Amino acid sequence: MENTMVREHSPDVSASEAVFGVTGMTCASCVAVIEKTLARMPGVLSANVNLASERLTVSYDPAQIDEPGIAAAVKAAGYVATPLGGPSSAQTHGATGTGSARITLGITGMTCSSCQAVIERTLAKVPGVSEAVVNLAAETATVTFDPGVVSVDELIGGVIDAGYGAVVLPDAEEAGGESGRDVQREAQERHTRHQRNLLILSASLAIPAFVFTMVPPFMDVIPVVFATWLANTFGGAWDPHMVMKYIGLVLATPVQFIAGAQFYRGFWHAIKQRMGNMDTLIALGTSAAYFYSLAATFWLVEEPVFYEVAAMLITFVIFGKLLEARAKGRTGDAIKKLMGLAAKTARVVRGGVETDIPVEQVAAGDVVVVRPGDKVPVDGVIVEGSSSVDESMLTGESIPVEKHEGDTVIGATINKLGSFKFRATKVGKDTALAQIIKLVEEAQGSKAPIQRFADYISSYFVPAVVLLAIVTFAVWLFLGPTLFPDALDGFTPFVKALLVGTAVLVIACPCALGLATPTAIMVGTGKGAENGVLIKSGEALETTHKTNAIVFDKTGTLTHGKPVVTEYEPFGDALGREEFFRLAAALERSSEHPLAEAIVNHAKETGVELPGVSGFAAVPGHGVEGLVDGRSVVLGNRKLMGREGIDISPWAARIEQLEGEGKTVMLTAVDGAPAGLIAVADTLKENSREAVERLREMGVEVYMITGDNRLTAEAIAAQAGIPADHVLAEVLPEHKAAEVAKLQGRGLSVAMVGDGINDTPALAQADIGIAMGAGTDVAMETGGIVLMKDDLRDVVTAIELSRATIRRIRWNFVWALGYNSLGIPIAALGFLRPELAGGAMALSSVSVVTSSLLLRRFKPSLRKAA
Amino acid sequence: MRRFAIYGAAALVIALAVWLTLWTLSQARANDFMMVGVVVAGENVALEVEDQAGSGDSIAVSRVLAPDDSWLVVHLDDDGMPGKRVGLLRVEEGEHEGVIVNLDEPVTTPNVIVALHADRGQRGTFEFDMDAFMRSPDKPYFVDFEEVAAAVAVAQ
Repeated sequence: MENTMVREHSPDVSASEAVFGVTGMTCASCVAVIEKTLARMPGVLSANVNLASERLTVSYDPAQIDEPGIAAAVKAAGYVATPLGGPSSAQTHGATGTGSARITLGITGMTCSSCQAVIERTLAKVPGVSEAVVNLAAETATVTFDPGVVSVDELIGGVIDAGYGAVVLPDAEEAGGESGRDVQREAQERHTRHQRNLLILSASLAIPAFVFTMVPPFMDVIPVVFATWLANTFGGAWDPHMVMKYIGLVLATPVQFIAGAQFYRGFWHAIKQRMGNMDTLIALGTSAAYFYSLAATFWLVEEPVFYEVAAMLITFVIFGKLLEARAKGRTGDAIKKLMGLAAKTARVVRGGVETDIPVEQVAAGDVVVVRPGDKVPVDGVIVEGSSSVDESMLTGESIPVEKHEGDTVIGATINKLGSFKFRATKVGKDTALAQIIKLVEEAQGSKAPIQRFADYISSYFVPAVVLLAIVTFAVWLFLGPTLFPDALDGFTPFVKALLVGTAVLVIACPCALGLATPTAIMVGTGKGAENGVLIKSGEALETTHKTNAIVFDKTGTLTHGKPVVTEYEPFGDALGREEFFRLAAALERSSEHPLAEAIVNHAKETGVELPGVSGFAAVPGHGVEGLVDGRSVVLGNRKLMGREGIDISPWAARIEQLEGEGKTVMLTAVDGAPAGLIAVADTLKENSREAVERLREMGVEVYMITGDNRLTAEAIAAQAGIPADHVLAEVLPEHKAAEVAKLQGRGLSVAMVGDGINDTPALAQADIGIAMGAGTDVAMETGGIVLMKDDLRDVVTAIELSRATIRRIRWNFVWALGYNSLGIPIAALGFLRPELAGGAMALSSVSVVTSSLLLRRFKPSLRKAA
Repeated sequence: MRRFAIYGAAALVIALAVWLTLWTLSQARANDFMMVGVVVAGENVALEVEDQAGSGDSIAVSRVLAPDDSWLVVHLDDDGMPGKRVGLLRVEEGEHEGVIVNLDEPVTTPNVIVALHADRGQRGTFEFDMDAFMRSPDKPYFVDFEEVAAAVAVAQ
C-alpha cells in the first residue's frame, strides 16, 4: 500500500501523490525498470506501477521533484508517462482539460500485454493525444485527445496501422453499457471470424502439407503421382523428391504470409518498441523453418525441407488463440450477465400520462411506474405503493425484499407482486448497476501483486528463450554429431540443430504464465459481483486471502445499529410506569440522539401521546432536561443524576444487571426525584453469530471494536460468539485506526469491517477494508471490498473467494511454469518436433484459462436461505 | 441454411479425405513408389538397346532420347535387378543413335541392364547412391512408374 510505503520511507515528509498513465510497458521487466528508475530519483518516496491498468502511482516530496520531472525520468527510461492527476482523479478523470475530449475504442486482435503496450505507444505518438490507456481484459482503449488536432478517424487509423482493429464505443457506463458493449462484441466477433477464416485457410493447407510430405504412404504416392501428371501435362522431367518440396512450398507459403502475417506484424511492432513477445517467438520459429526449407528447395537441394513445420505451427497457434479467446470470453461472463440485467425501457409519468420510454431517457426526478413482474429500470425512492422486490441479481440475497414508501429501489432488480411508483434518483452511469459494472471492470483490469511474479519471469523469458534457442542450435550443430550421434534421426547436424532450436523457441513462449493471474482475477471478481461482494481490485482480492484477524465494528455491522427499548421501570410508586415513560419520551422527542429516537419510536408504537416540552436543553455528555406538563424532567446517565444531586444508589444493582446484558440504561428524574429507568439495546443481526463462528473455524481471529463501555460491549460480543478478550471496547471513533494498527503490529493481517462512513480511517488502516451495506451507494470510496448488503456472511464469502482465487492462481503458475520447465529440456534434447511444441504451447494457454474458469464453480460455504 | 452449408462442406472434406486415403493405399499396393526416380512422359524419353554380340568391353545403344542432359548407365544383372555399375556415359539432351558405352570391367553375367539417369546435381558428375536414393539428384528416369531401362543379353 502506497500510504504505508510513504510512512516507511519518510515519516516526516509531507508527500504528494500523482498518478500517471504509462505506455510502452510489456511485462514486469518494464515495471521494474520504471520503479527502479524512479526510486533513484531524489524526492521520490515510492513508485508503484500497475502493468494491467498501465498506471504509475508516485509518492513524492513536492519540494524536491514535480510531475513533469517524474514524467521526464520515465521517458528517459524508454516509456511515456502521462499525468492523470491525483489518485482519486485517476478513477474519475472524466473532466478533461480545455480543448480535450475522451473516447473509448473497442480493440480487437490483442494477444498479450505487449500488444497493449504497442497500441498505447502508437496512440501516444499521435499528435494531439494526451493519454491512451488500453485495458487488455476489457479490450478497450480510452484516449484523451484534442479534437482540434486529431480526429477520431485518425485515432482508429493509428490503431489499425499498428495491426489491430478498433471501433468507437459509446460511453460504456451509460445505461449499463449495453449499447457500447454491443459494438465491442460485434468487433470481437468480426475479429474472431477473421481468425477462424485464417484458421480454415491455414489448416486446409497445412494439413495436406503435413500429410503429403510426412505421412506414408501419402508421402510416397502423392509426389510421384503429381510428378507423373506434371510430366504428362507439361512435359519435362520431374523428380518426385523435388515435387514434394514444391508441394510443401506451394501449400506453406500462403500460410506463412497470409495466416502468419499477423505474427510478422506483431514482431515488427514489438521490434519498433524494442520489445519481444509471443509474435517474436512465433515469427522467428516459423521463419527459420520456412526460409531454411526455401533454401533447401532451390539451392541445398539434397537437404530435406520442413515447410509443414512452419505451416502446422502457425495453424496450431491460431487454433490455440481461438480456443483461448473462447475460454477467455467466458471469464468475462459475470460482467456480461450484469450488463444483461439492465432494463431496456421504463414507464414514466410525464404530463400526467404514463409513457414507455427507453431507459436512457429517464431523468433523475422522473416518477417511474413499476408493475408486477417488471424490472425496476433505474435507482430511486418509492413514493407510492409497496411490493416485494427480488434483488438477488445484485445482492445475492435470494429472499425478495419488502419495499414500502420511502424505501430505496435498485435498478435491474425485479418487482414481484405489487405495483409502485418511485422517483428516480440515479440514472445512466450513476445507477448502482452501472457503478457495479464499472467497479468490476476496473477490478478485472487491475493487477494483483502476485502477478509481479509472473511479470518478472515473463520479462526475461523472450530474450532468454531466443538466447537459449541459439545456444541449443549451436550445441546440436557443433557437438550433436559427437554427443548424440544416434539422435540426429538421419538429418545433417545443421538440420537437426535447426529443428531443435525452433522447438525450443516455440515451447518456451510464456503465454500461459501471462494468463495465470488476470484470468483468475477476472473470474474471481466476477464471481464476487454475482454474490453481492464487490472486490475493487486485484490487490484487494489477493490481500483478503491473507486475512488472519478480522475486526468488526459493533454498531451497524454486528448489530442492526438501531437501538430499541427493551425495558422501562419506575423507581418506586411516586409515578406510574406509563406516566414516567410518557414524560421521558416527551422530553426525548426534542433530542436528536439515536437513543432518544428509540424511545420516541417505542412511544409511537405503543400509542403513547406525548405532551409538549418547554425549556429543552441538551447537556453534552450527560443527557437532556426540560419542562413537561410544567414538571422539571431530566433524562440521562449517572453523571447527570450526580450533577442534579439525585441518589440512584438503591437501583444501582438493577442498572448494572441491565448494563451487563449489553443494554444502555437511561435514568429519569422528575421534579428532582428519581423517576425510573429506560433500557435501550442494539440487537445482534440474525447472521452475525453464524458468520463469526465460520470465520473462527477458518482460523481467523475475530475482534469487535466499539465505543461502548466494556460491559455492554462484552455482552453483545458474547451473543455474537466473540470472546471477551477479543473485545476492543470504549474506543473513540478516531482511535479505531490505532487499535487496528496495534493488531497489525502483532503481525496479523487485519480486515476491518464497517459501514464505510464512520469507520473510514480504520478501514483505510486495515490491510483490507470491507465496507458493508452499500445498497445503491456502491461507489463508496473506502474499503477494498464493498458488500452490497448488510449480511456478515458475505464477509466469509469474500475471504473464501479470495482464498479460492489465490489457490487457483498458484495452481495456474504451477501448471504454466511446469509446462515451460518440462517442455524446454524435452525440446532442447530433440524429443519434440517444432509443430508439436506449437500445439503444446497453445494448449497450455487453454488449460490455464480453463483452470481459471473452474473458479466459476465457487459457492459460498454459508448458503443463503432459499 | 448456413448450418447445412457448413455440414455439407465438412462432409465433402471428410469424403475427399477418405477417398484420397483409399486411393493412395490402393496405389501404394500396386506400385513401389519409394524407388521412383525422375518422372517423364513416355514420348519424351526413349532407350533402345539390342542384344550385344561384340567383344564385351562396350555396349552399343541403338537410340536414346534424353529429356535432359543424362547418363547412360550399364549395370551387371543381379537377378533381374541392376547390380554393380560397369559402364557410364554422359549424353546431352536430345536424340542420339549408335551410342557406345565403354565398360570399366568385363561383363560376368549373361545380361546387363542399361538405364537412363538424369544429370540434375552437379553437371558432369554422376551423383547417385542406391542407399541414399531419395537424396541422390541423378536418379533414373521413370515412365508410368516403370524405370527407363533395358535388359540386354551379352554374348560371352
